[in-house]
Amino acid sequence: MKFYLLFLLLLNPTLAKTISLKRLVPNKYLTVEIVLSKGLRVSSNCQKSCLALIHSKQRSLKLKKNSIGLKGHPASEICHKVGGKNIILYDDLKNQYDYCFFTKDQSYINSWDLVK
Amino acid sequence: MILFFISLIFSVAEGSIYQTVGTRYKEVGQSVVIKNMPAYRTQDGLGLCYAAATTTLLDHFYCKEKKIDCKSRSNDERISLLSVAGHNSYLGDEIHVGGRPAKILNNIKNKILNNKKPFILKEKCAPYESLMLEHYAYRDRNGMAQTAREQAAGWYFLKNIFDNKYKNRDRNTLACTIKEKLKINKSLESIIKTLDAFIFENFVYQVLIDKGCLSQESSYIDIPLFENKNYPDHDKEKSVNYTLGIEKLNNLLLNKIPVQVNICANYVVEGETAKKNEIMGDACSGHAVVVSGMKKVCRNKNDCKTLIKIHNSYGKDWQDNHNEGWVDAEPILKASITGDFRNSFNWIQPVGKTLENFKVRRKPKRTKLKNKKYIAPALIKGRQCQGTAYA
Repeated sequence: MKFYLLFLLLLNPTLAKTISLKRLVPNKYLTVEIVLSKGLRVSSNCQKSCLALIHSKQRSLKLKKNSIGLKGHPASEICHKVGGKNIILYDDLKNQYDYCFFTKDQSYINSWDLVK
Repeated sequence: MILFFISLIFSVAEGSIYQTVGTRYKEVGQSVVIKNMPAYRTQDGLGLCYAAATTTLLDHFYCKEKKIDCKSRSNDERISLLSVAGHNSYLGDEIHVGGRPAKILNNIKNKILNNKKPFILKEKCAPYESLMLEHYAYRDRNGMAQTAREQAAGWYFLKNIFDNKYKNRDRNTLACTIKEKLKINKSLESIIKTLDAFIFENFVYQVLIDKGCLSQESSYIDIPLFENKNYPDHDKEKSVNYTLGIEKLNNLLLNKIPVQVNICANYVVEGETAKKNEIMGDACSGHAVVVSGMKKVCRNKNDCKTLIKIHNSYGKDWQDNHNEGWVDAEPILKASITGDFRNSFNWIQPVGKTLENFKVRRKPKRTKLKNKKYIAPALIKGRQCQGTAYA
């Protein structure tokens, strides 16, 4: 029973640690709240369902030969394959993160979570 | 079934040249890690790894020489990756997909030597995000409807504008489209002028780089003169192997110099498994990374590995997923030195600086004694001086 409760707690995205990242849009930064939902790093508007989570289930790991290197990195390619747009988010230390963005519902998922 | 899963795990592990080690491996001896490295970048969907790696080297060099905390700067104050990419050609002012870090460093150094401004701009003058467009619908040369769902649709958007610039005589409309789509802070007149470019790569440079910034001293980075070096020098060093490579790398890191390493990073991911990468030949997919640390880890006496800290241009998540970038040195260096690369390692150092030669401590030869105990010759000699011998 204890393990079951713990399991439920871990699955609950509202209890997961929220990370604030920033997105550069012309001349300003937008804040994007990232939460852990079902083991995936998604934007906080993905509490129940969103395109980012739907596409994470259809993730395609099939990459063509020579698909990295001169063409960019694999996470970015997979994001575009599932219909998202790979965008760059920043943390407070100015480190850059790849997030797959879905314009329709403004949801985000970590692009590398699509590769795993 | 169990064997199937085990084979799956190994095949996945073999697929990438970035191999992390488990927690069973413990650090032994002293590690070397270069401090004050700049924040992690991502090249996103563009083949600009060469520029990202070079920018990391230049960023670190600038912070070190100017004695500033690299991570304390705002994003706008960092060196612009696109601006650095513009130095890949001899004449400059062109942004290519794919390039050579050694060439960029040489071009920048020569410009500084000739008292020309190297035109290394701050990020605010050439933001990388300009190229990260939404999916872009267009008609190709044959009039067929296409959608650039590929990575970095901004690149395809510009390519299409450039290829069709003679068909559409209304240059004002074209300039407006560029300004609106890429959301760049440029006057329409200056965008119209970019349409005169003869080569696409020059057109990209002109569109993305804010030339107005070049007249403002606060907008460019004043990089001190440096010496750019590389290894192996193929004219002098004919045979370089993993051991020599790791010694060279270790020596540079001990001198607090981060090293840009060219590698063949190709791997094939099919379904849930991955095939072993093909290092040589056409399958080599050139990639550039920066190495900023080295350490030795051991699981037991007979199982030790050398790890290097990779500063990749795949973003912070890649670093987190790969043990903060600490990966096995062997596949990386083999993919570098044995790959078809001249000058696998590139680095920059202050002018006139002589590097200290840190000799790698090799294990002393052990002498077999009668009672099967092994004692290093140096120790035996020492004891003999005191009149005592092991028996």
